Amino acid sequence: MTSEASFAEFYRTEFAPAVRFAYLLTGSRELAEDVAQETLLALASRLATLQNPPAYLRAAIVNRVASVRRRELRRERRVEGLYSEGHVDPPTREVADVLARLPERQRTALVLRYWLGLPNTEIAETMDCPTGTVKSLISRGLDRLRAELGEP
Amino acid sequence: MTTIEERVTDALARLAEQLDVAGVDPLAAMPPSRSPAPSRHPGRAWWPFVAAAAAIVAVVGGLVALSGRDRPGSAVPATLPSGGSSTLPGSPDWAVAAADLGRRLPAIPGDTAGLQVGLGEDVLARFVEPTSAERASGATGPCLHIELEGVVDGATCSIVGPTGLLAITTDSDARYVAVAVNSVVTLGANGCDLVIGTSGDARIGACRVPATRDGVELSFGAPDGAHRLVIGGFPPASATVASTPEPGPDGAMTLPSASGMHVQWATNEPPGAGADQRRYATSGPQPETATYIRLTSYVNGAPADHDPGCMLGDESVTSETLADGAAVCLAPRGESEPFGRLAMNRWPDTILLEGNATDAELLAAADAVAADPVGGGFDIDATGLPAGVALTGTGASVSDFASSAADPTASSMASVSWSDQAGRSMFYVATPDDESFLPNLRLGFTAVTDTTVRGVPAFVRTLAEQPGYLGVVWREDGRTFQVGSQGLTLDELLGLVEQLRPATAADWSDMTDAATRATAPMVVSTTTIVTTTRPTG
Repeated sequence: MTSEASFAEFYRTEFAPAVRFAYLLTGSRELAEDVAQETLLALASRLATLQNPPAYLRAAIVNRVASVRRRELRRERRVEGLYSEGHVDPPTREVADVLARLPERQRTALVLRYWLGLPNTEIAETMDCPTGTVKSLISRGLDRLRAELGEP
Repeated sequence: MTTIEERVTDALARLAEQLDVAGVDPLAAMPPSRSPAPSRHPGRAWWPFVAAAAAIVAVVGGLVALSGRDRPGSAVPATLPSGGSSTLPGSPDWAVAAADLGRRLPAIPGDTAGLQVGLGEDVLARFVEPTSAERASGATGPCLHIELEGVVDGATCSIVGPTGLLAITTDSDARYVAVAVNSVVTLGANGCDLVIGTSGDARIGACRVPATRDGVELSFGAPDGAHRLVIGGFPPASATVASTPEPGPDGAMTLPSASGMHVQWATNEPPGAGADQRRYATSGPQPETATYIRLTSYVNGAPADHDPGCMLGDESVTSETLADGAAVCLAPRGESEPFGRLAMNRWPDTILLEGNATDAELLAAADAVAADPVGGGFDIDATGLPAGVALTGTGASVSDFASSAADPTASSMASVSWSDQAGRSMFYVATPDDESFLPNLRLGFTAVTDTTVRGVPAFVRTLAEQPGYLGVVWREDGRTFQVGSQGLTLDELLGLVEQLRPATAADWSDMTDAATRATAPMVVSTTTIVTTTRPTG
């Protein structure tokens, strides 16, 4: 496969899932688009040098989201209107509303676990924290969801 | 019965699936047979690519895709030479790189109508947009024209044609300007200096293709390497180059390629968000040897009506209640551990108190925390401080491990991150702090050891919970350099520090350019502050 075909395939294949991943982390479509585009394109020229491109890009998106979100938080001082894209059924909306109110790292850990299905060790690598912290973040996030959704 | 885990899994899948991503993908206009299949769980199918690919190819691919709907005809230029890169003086802030494919382009202010691309005095392309009235009328829809008058042969920097017009219809002009601009560069600017500037009114009307012009179909030969141009930079970048290298930004440093380290990112802004920090310690050159408390406050992101809980990131914290009834949490520690941590939330901030202090001292300090109406952030009233301890430094974090008394939002702070093939990394930030602030940078680390680097006094910092971390701090040319590293031995770190040399403007441009091609920065997060430091001895 020629280099141009490889890159075109790379971009075509990964853009949509990258946006979705970033959207679940941020709750913002606009932010997700920017993060996905910037991260994918930044990675393109370095693919051959990476031992584990999926893990690297995953962490890069998480990091870029965290960086962008911090800047936004410092400007706006609060989070509003997350996961407002499209129409979802009421049960999903309930979960989304709670997810939107979770601390960012709890939300990130939950997305990595329950959307990407990653084990604690890979979540820890992605978030650059101990596995104990991952367990804590997921546990606290689920506790909050249970409490606010009235789940046992 | 549905568990909470199942419900979260289902909700995340639904939220992701209902997002119509195709509508925002610059490549989505490609033929259907080349469109990606949606993936519900990208983590398992992502990035099966190991071959490097030049971003420039995607630029052209994107342009071809974009042009497909409105391309007026065909006049295929000859295959163009590949390789090479342009080295342009000018402000990096105004540079557009090939890797900017699809990005919104904040670098072009205002109306792009009249912007043109040129080589020397020759105009190669003009960018034409509809007027606001035309947009409002909806008669033509938003569109962007690229009036292509010349294509550059990268080998000779000469114009080889063809002429024509490429019309692109889009509902997101700015981002496509980047694609369009880069397409011109792609067509053969290898090593040539291209510039964009404004000159006259190049309007030819919205979304109309003049019948007198031939259409252009783009072809490309997959050139590799960096291609970029400077916007708004007349006189052309090919103008005089000074014989004496222009110095880079204050504090900008570079490493020789022989070091084996590659730039991951380079910026003249603080890499971190700047959590407010205050240090309360004893006076003297080694305050870390006595009682001290470091106060850090940052916005935790939780809405006002929701308690984010303990932000220490530890499963076994203990909860306490302050005199005013507010809840705080304390990190567990052994009896011999002098370093303690306490966290409390005061919307919208989380406040961390850390340092060589007993839990009782931390609680007393927490009772005395009050918002600082003058300086912002929070302060500990003197009545809540241990005996002999007083405020010694006010500032902000500028990364996980670096701090500054300077306003991080108003100060230039060169910072660079490098890594090698083995994943080892080194990072630094140069802050404009006075020497008097230096003792504050010894606080919050497991061990601090005095040494000498680059012929000046320095100290090495370590963190118990991050055994791969090593840091070193010194002052040079009026700036404080705070270096951190992961995976390097002390000898390796100090060896790299000795190899640092001031970057010229050209060096810095290359570094920032390389950074745009590297992946995202190793983010230095205010949130990770809560998990980084717990000295054991």
